[in-house]
Amino acid sequence: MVNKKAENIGLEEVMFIILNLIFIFMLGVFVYSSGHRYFVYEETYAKQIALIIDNAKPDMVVLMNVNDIVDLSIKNNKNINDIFKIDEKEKRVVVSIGESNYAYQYFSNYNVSLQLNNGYLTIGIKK
Amino acid sequence: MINNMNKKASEKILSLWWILVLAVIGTVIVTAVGTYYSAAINVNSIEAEILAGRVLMCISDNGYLIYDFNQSYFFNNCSLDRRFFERGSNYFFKLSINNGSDFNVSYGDASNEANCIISEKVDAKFFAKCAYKKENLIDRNGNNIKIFILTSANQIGRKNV
Repeated sequence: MVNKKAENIGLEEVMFIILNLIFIFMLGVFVYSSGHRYFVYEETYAKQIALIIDNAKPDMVVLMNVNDIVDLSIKNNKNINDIFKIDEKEKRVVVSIGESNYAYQYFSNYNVSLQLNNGYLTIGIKK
Repeated sequence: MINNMNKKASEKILSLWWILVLAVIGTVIVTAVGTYYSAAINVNSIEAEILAGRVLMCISDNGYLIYDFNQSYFFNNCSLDRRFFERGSNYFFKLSINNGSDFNVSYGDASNEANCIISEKVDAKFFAKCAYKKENLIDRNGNNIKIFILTSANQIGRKNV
């Protein structure tokens, strides 16, 4: 009788701990996946590069550290040469890590070139 | 026996209380993380500031006013793309010299000028963000010239899935 009661209490406690662990695990997965959403990186970099272009003067070359986004695209099996693109016709910076992409316009009439090398993006601006 | 029953009842209350605590913690974390990552990164005010700086740089040289600007001056000399400064576009700028008595020109969506005044008074999320620049320059005769530049940007980036 006493043993049965002890077993019941043990099972309840184990279930309680397991449910708590599941809850904590689910929260952890949610926070982790939220922090690794690609579109946040895509949007941030597209806007950053567009602002750099608009703020630059002709014949400027800007070097930008983009190691984090390169690492993400390698994990995502994305060709690193396809991450950053300039849409010359529409004057847009297009950043893509996964299947989707994010585009942001700049208002300057510059000829912009982007070159990725060893985790650094070289932004060349010509009139 | 009574003690045991009380203990069991208090355990049930405790587990209910614990579920409530977990629910509150979960809701707070999900709401906070969701709000943080879904927040739009709005750089329109920075764009407006940059545009105002570009216009000012373009019409001045070491504190002196460059005089020869005409209607197409800004697009030929300031490397601004004309397509983005037409009616219905995302950008707008207005340049006034001596309160508009000497020179007054504006490009882009003119409704943004009114929107700038409104958004100063009311917190309008989807309105254009504006920037103002007031400068004193010297003209070729050595006179003090008052420059007023108003710019606005209202671009929403495009996410393509």
